[in-house]
Amino acid sequence: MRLGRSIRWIIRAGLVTGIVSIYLCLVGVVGTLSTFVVGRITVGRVLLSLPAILVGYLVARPAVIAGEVQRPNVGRAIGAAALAGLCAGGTLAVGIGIVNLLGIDTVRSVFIAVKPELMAVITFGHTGVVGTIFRIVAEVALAAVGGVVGWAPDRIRVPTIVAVSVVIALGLLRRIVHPALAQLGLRDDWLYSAITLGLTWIGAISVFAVTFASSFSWRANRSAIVARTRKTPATEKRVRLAILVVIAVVLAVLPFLVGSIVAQILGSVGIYVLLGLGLNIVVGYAGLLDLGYVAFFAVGAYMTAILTGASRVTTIGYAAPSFSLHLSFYVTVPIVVMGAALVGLLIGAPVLRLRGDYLAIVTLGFGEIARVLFTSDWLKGLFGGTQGLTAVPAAPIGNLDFRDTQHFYFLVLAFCLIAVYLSWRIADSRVGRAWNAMREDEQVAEAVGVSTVRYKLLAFAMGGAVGSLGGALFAVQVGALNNASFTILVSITALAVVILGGMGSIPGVVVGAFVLIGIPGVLSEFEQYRLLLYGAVLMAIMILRPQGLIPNVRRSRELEEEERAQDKWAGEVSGDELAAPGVSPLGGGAG
Amino acid sequence: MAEGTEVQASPDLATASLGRLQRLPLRRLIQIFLAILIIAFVAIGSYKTLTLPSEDRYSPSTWKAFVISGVAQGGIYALIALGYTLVYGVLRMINFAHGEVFMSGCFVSFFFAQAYAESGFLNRDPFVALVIIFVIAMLASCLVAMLLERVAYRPLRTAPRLVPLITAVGASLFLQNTALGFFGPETRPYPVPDILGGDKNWTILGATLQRIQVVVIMTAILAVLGLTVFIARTKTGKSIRAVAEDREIASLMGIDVDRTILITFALGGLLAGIAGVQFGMTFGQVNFHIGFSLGIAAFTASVLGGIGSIRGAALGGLILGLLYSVGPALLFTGFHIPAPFQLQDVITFSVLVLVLIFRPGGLLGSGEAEKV
Amino acid sequence: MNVLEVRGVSKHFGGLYALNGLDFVVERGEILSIIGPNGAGKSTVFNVITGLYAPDAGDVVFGGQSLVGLTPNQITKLGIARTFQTVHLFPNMTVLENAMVGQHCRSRTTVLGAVLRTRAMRREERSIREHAESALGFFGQRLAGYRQDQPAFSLSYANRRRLEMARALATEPSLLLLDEPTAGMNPRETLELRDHIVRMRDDLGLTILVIEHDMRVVKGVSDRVVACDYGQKIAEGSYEDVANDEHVIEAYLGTKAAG
Repeated sequence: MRLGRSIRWIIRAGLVTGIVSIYLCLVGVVGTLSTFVVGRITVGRVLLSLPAILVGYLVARPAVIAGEVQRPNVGRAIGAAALAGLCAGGTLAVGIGIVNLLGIDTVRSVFIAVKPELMAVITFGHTGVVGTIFRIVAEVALAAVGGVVGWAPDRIRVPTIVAVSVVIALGLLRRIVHPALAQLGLRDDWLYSAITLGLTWIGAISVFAVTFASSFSWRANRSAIVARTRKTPATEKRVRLAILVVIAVVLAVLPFLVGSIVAQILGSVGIYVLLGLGLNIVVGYAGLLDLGYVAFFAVGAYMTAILTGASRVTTIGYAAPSFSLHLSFYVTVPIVVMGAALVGLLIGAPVLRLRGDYLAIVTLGFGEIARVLFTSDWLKGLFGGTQGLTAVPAAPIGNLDFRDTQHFYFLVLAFCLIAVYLSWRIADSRVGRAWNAMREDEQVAEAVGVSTVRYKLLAFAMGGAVGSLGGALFAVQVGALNNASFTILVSITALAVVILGGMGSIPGVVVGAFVLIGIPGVLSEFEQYRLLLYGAVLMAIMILRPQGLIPNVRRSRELEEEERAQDKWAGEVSGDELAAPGVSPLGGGAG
Repeated sequence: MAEGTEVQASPDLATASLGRLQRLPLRRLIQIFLAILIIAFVAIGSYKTLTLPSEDRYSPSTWKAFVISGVAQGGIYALIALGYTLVYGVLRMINFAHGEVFMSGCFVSFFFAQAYAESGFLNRDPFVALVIIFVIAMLASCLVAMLLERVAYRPLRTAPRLVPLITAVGASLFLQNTALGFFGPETRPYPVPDILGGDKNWTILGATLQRIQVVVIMTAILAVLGLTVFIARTKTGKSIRAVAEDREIASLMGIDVDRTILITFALGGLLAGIAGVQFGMTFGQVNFHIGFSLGIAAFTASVLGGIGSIRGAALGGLILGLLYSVGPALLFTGFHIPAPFQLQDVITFSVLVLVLIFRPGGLLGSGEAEKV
Repeated sequence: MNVLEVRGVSKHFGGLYALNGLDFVVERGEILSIIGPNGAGKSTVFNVITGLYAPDAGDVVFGGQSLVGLTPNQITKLGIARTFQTVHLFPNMTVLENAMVGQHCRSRTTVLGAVLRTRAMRREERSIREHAESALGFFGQRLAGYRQDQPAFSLSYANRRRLEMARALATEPSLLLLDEPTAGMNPRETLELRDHIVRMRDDLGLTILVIEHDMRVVKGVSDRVVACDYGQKIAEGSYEDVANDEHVIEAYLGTKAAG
């Protein structure tokens, strides 16, 4: 039985893996992330081990030749994996050698992450040649383990991956799981160690076993269960309704289950769900890449603050802004929304004729202009300059104060539900169709009767309106606004949320927000690497799965190559006659 | 079509090509109104600034300093803008992460410069040291640029346009934060050899320029000339032009498209590396974030001049540099706007928007949105 | 009664004149074919009529109203629909949705109606759907039934052409512009389409302007023919008149053949 990969590929993969491991060490994730996952294994160690396991896994995957799965024998698979691990280890050894040669302090003057602690993690606490050998052996072993998993048949491989993921997830998410279990009155000292705040080995193994068994049996019986529940449209509807009810119940009790600290993170997740939904209208529905979405966020936040009576922060204390009202938050919201819609029109009007890249840069510019203006000295009298505004009233209803994180959660939830409903309804209407047509082929849509001017403006206005809701809620949540909160990173985060979840997909936006905001929020150590993660996620998603995690079915087809090739073919068959050389009235295909 | 002195590529903006006299009355009215507004603002602002009472007024030597520093800065922008323009020519795509390519060159060369400064080598043998520093910067930027192309852009050659753009944004973020992780958040002081020190001036044509400014301007001019000759005369330059015109036909003619595109990125990287050192020495500092604002400014410069055109990038850089340094002083001081230089970016982006509205092909473009 | 008048229209790109003082009229209820060698400017005149380009000189008058300066979607709303030389569908929308987009200019629901799901909105959606289905139904069973929910890119080439025409029909035009409708079709499909075109005039009361290369189709559907070359009209009349006109023969085949 042959291996799926040539020796050259394996060696190259191993070298790349080594470089990736070195990168992870240098960028700091290995050294600084010291939350314990299981026993004494920190997140940093897990990350350091991942590349080797991954390369072993990939190398040992059975080849699919002529549609048939050719599984090599296990010895060969492990051998190949080990080889890759060896190359990775060798690369790391070179790195370790360089550090030893030049001395840690010299290297640290350039790469600040190279500290003795980091070297200890890499070399298992041993210096010199011994430590290097340990590392090489570790890489080989890890790759071999990955190889075994990769080689294994699906019915074992998949449950293993699921089980390991669940173990790691539980290890990282103690902050959520522990209070939840406590609320439900369950003891968890067998699961989590009180000392390391990570999983105990007993806990880890039990979780692994249970998850593995469930996953295994689910796979075995899946078709039967699905057949039973999806038997008729009526039962299918009932299943869907049941799922919705479960989600509703979970949403309702979530803040109480996870405690008030995590509830605050949920609040931020909700705000980004709103931003994501708004951006989804502009990018996902209408196909306009807006990189300056923070403008609407800022408009929403600052308008809310001023209209509800916030104070300016000055060097000598607090003062009132040059224009200020003391309206109730709930009266302010419609005004803010309309203001943001107007800003949307202002932003949309100049960019109507611009295509993709230019549109992106110009909207980026508008976002930056918004930030500069709101935090400028020129408008300091109104917006407080770089120090900003504070004492934003907490949107009270009667005695209920919405700055309390658990109450705020429900406020955000309400707005999110409204936005979700709005997006859903619009997508499935004449307006949504017009946007789809415009996105697929702007000139043809115009020729078929869709006024692209009107619908582009509409997209900006609506997207802006929804985004401003996020800003308004942010003002209430945090109570203070300053220049740190309105950078381009807000725009990019919102974009990442939409992209990760899937452009044009409403559930995708929710998932994207949970993954990109929720997880770093809960794993507070990750905070400093959040943006690095966003960058990597954006790149990875575009290269590997451009339709996102939960694709909008329509969009996923758009982003696959074959239909574009098909359209091209159709164009060639009909004979592309040009009215005049060098001029074609309409560019080919949906590109 | 040009005689092959530049990478010929016009932005294929999706505009229905309306003849000059046939635009919708409403659009035309708005454009005219906008134009009047802007001209009025500029005129009034400038007038007010120049007629301020003499204590508040800028002296002629201050204005000269503004202009000179604007020209020098423009040189740096031009070098980076060339990178944007080259990549846009062959890939019709904005390499959003080019600012980070520039930053890499600056940062990597910083460490060498710092070491040389500490050991005294920088001042003992400044020419050799500078050459090494420049070469290091160029190599580093080149490497990052080629990695970008290979890892992030090549897999997406055939994807719809939105996809590589988003990838570029992601790459920019990733590279920035990689630098943050590697080197830390502090702003480092970039060492300047004594012979180029800020107090050393040369007087040319009655104007006093700092030596470093002269270096910057000279390199920019040399780079533009060199690149123009390279694109026009060498075989590689011809391949680049061919790929920029029509990638498919070029590959049918036997040109290795992948290699040509890689070389284009490398070229842009080399120039960005030079700009990196110059930036470090002009402003005396480097941190992980400099790629962002300079990237945007340089991109604006390339669009301003006419993207796809080498001379356009140079011209755009020059104009942008002047706008950056003279603009806020000239336009805002008269209106008594506090801290006018905070609003630099507002000017830049407004210019970008206006250029794209009125003359999307840029100053050296055709004046009308061309269709491909 | 003239539905459409093209008066002295000129259009140049760079130094090249695609249209050079082109003059013709389209009478109500007729099928007028435009023929001419490649590069004669035929597609360009369609683009000028439908507002994609603005002419550098001349005028286009539709039902007494000048079209110059209007946006394409405004022109479609006035009642001119077109198909394209290379099929331009919305590939990822379903067949039915493609046709429903055609109804966009004949409907009015806005965001508010969509969100509130008013009775008027639902009624309009039903009407849009019905019109779209009837437009698709013009081509018989080919675009009906389960096919309507297939994404447009999955259609065969001939069906794509038909879908594009159905989409144009769904805009409820009074003037239909067909740009090489039978290009790429086999003889059987071509004949079928020829009959469809005649039916569009007879059953739907459309005035039709067709650009065609296939002379069998031109002969079979045209009431009148206009021949163009180098952006100008070189002959006009019935098919026989034009086919035997020496200028036309010269344009297609060269001087010797004409002599």
